[in-house]
Amino acid sequence: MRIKNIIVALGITLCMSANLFAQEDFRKNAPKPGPAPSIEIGDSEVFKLDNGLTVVLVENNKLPRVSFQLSVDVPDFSEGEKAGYVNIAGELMGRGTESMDKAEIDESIDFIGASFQTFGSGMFGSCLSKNSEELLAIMSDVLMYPVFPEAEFEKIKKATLSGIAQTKNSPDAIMANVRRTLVYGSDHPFGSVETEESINAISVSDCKSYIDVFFKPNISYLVIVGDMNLADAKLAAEKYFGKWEMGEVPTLKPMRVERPEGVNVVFVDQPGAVQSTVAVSYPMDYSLNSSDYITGSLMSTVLGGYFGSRLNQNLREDKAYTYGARGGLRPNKLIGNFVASASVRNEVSDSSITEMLYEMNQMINEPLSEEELSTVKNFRTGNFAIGLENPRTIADFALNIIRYDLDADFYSNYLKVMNAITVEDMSVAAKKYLNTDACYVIVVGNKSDVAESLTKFDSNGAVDYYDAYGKLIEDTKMPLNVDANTVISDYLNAIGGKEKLEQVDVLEMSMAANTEMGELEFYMVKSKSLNTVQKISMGGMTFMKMVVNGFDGYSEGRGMTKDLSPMEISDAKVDAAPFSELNYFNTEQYNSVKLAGVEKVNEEDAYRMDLVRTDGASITEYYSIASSLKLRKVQTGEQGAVTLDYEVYKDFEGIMLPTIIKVSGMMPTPIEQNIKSVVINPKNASDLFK
Amino acid sequence: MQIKRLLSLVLAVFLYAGSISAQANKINFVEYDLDNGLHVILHEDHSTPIVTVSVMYHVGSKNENPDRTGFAHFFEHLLFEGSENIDRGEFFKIIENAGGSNNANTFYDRTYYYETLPSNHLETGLWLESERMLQARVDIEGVETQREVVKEERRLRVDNQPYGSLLEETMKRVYKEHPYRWPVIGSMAHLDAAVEEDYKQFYADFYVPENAVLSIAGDLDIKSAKVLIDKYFSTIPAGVKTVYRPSIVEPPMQGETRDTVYDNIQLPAVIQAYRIPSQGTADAYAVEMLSTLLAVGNSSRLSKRAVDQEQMAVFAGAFPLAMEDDGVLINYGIANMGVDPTDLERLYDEEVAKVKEELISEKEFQKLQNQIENQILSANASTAGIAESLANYHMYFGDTDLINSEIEKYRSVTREDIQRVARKYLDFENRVVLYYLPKGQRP
Repeated sequence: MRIKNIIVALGITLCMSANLFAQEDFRKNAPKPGPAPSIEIGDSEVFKLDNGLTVVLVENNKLPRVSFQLSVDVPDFSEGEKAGYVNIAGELMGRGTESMDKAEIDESIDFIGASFQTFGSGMFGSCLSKNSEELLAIMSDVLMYPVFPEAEFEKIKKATLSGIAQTKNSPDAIMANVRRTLVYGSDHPFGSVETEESINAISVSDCKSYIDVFFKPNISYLVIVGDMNLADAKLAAEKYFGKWEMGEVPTLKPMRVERPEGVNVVFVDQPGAVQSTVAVSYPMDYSLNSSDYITGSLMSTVLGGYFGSRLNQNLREDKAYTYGARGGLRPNKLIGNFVASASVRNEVSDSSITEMLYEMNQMINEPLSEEELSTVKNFRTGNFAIGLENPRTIADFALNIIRYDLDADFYSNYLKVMNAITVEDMSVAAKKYLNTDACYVIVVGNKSDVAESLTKFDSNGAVDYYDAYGKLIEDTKMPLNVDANTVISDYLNAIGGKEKLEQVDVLEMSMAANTEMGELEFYMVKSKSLNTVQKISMGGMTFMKMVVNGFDGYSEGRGMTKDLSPMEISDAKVDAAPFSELNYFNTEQYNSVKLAGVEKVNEEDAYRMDLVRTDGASITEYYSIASSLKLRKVQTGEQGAVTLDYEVYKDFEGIMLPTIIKVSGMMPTPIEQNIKSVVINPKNASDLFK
Repeated sequence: MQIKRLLSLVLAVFLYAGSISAQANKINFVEYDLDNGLHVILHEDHSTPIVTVSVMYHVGSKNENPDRTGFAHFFEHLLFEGSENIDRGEFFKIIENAGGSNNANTFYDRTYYYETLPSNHLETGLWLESERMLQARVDIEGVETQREVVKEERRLRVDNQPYGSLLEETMKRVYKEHPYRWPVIGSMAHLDAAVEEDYKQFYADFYVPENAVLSIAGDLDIKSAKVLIDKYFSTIPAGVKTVYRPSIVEPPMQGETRDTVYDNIQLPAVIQAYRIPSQGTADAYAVEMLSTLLAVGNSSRLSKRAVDQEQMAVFAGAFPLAMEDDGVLINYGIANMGVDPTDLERLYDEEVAKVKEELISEKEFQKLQNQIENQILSANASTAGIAESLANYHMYFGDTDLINSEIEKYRSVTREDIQRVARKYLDFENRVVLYYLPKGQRP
């Protein structure tokens, strides 16, 4: 920063104006605004049906359209081992009724150009007002006569599992998972995370009973916004929702959420990431009901709620660490939370956290200026008015007043209350709601580039590692007298000894894997001379074949043969040795081979080895403490992240080789390769490379 | 939930959805030119005390020098830095202090700036936009900072985002000559190489009144607004030369291009991109209806079959990118777990073949018309949306009233037209097919 400042001080400025004509004076200063317009919140109507359904109507006929939102105020509860079933139940509900299957529902909705979705907490539909009867008939049918078809359940499940697989590549999704489990705890209603296991544990009857138990009119709201008047709304609500039967709904006891003790740094490794997603977060009692709700909200705006906020000015406009930084309190009836977050480039991950904590501390310790307070009040006032353009905002206001039991004039007095907030009020709120001594610092990023720099923030000086679904990866203490050399030499001894391994000139292997498409066959030859063959086929049909022989090589696939470039040949040779571990300490092939700690692999304690090859690829391997065998290899870098798990070692002519290799990351679903045959130093080996 | 997030990511790739909007509830407006060539459009609506002030510049990535790609978008960042009368960092402060919100965006054909303000701040908006047009100023620190911010934007949206490079990878294969071949965000090396003269030249070439549309909508009085507009904009000098518009005509595609992109993803994706005619042509409206037939709504052809019946895809989409010069229709699908992308592609090909062979039924055609009507009648819900639509219609078509009459263009499309454009444009020889595969599958 300093050097740049000097340049500016020297007066080097890009003045882009082509025309330096005489200044017109009126341009020099911002014009004075006219008198502030009065801000009127539009009207809303609220009425109740006999079955207890509360209806909120905001009439607005600017456009000839209307929307219907049905919200079921389900009491918060934990989905436990079946995380995800509320979402699935909601989606499944809309997939068929006693009189219509999914295709018929879709067809009817699309035919009127409408939109319609169902979800775990209700349903939403919108259409042109001339089509409202057709849409409401479908909504009503779905609400009262859903049939939860098994086949549709399987479809949703499959799509949900695909989505979960996808999470592994989405830093934002990982952050959401981990933040949720940390801030609330995995047993809390807000803390459960959908995983492959939890989705597979769900049945249709779980979904059906959820809807049966909780979808009752007496805990629900129908919000109508748009081109419909009160008389029509009353008729429509009664006609389509009046027969919906009321019922007892269980109330659930809220759980307590504990603040973390001290600062707890949590890291989720995302190999290959070019940005870190960083967050500071903790749970906080903060709700629309809080007596200082508006002050807390205004304080959040100052810290991280608009472009000129302290976090964004510091991290984006001043330091250019990020495209944007945000932060503030998030209210919730049960328990709210605080979060500040940004996506930043790897090398400034720790600096970004330093700046976030700095800005929070500034808010706590220093009063803000009258000027800043007035800016942020103006910003919020104007945006309040802009928000009122959307009639949905007015409906939300009406709904919040009912749901949170707010004063009837809460929103009509909102601006008056906000504009009376003082600098002292803001300090009190900052001290109450901001805390840098007891919080989670969460980073999703590239472990090898970033993790070590974060220990300084942690109260215990140690970073905890979590997986993408918010599960702690247990750490075990490192024994003494172990280093990278001993781990590798123990491994080489365990699989047959260095001398024996060095006698292997050529290693020929066949493997097979069952996939949804059929049995995939893998054929592989490795050699000390670094000639290699790799082939993938199915039922005699070759998908991919690659042969490297000396300086020549070719590949076949999808019916085409092409020569490999010198680059591709040298790439192929990198992994062509029968036992590459013999060369780990050859500096021409590996830049570094480090023992990085002890971690668990499938419940087994293992040494973690971090390797960087001279071609730049980084590899992490895990060697069992008990058996010295290699349990896992994770290769990242150019190749993305591929995980190979080695299982069930067996003896082949005195050499131990894994007979099962589980590969994940390469395919949407992991595949399991089973060894079919192994030939060590096959006869006429040179023919293999033709 | 994850699946929704995934879809929103994919949709984010196509942030700039098509710009059809016209409506039965007539949008009234007045429009005129200032002597310096600035086109002004005003729409008066007093229902909420807010006003949107916007300026659309007819410069996008296609106007760039091939050695300075990314300049149009970089300018979108730089022109918030300040002016002769506005210090660095003050631009946002002034808007926020007025209670407004603002943003800007850049695409292949244009750059767009707007702020929505409480209506008593109309003059503030005019002052800011006139400063941006007349005498923007950026210091070295601003250039350095925004260059890094743009790099983070690229990492966030392209490099660290599953399928984030989809548009970029598609366009560079569809276009060999035309400037649509390079991405809007451009080359980071070009931005690093830029010197002071590059910035001055770009500003002088493109940020001139005759290359801009000032479009204002909301709680305003037309008569007094005109006086203020005159005060702030009439003395801004016109440019000294004709604005550069590339005349490069992309030659027809020489057969199908097939390629594979390896990305940090779990589920493969199939992309079929067909060259289509430029926006505003009769065929472009027919192509848009064709894409609605293929992938808008759960009952659309591709969604129904690929996602629902055969479960080969978690998502199926069709996206017509009609632009000033010939555009692309991107049909795409994200494969379900364990599905071979070649099977998904075959399904897409079969559905396209079906449209070519069989005339769509009267009922399905009626559905399409209803969907389009709904889309058009639902547009223009906000002053910000109206200001942008008005500017678009003038800048691209020279016919601002299309905001009210464009629906007729769709109504004149027949069933036969849809079949005809499918036959004409959805041809294997006229497309790029891309497979997105997980990085680990790289041979």
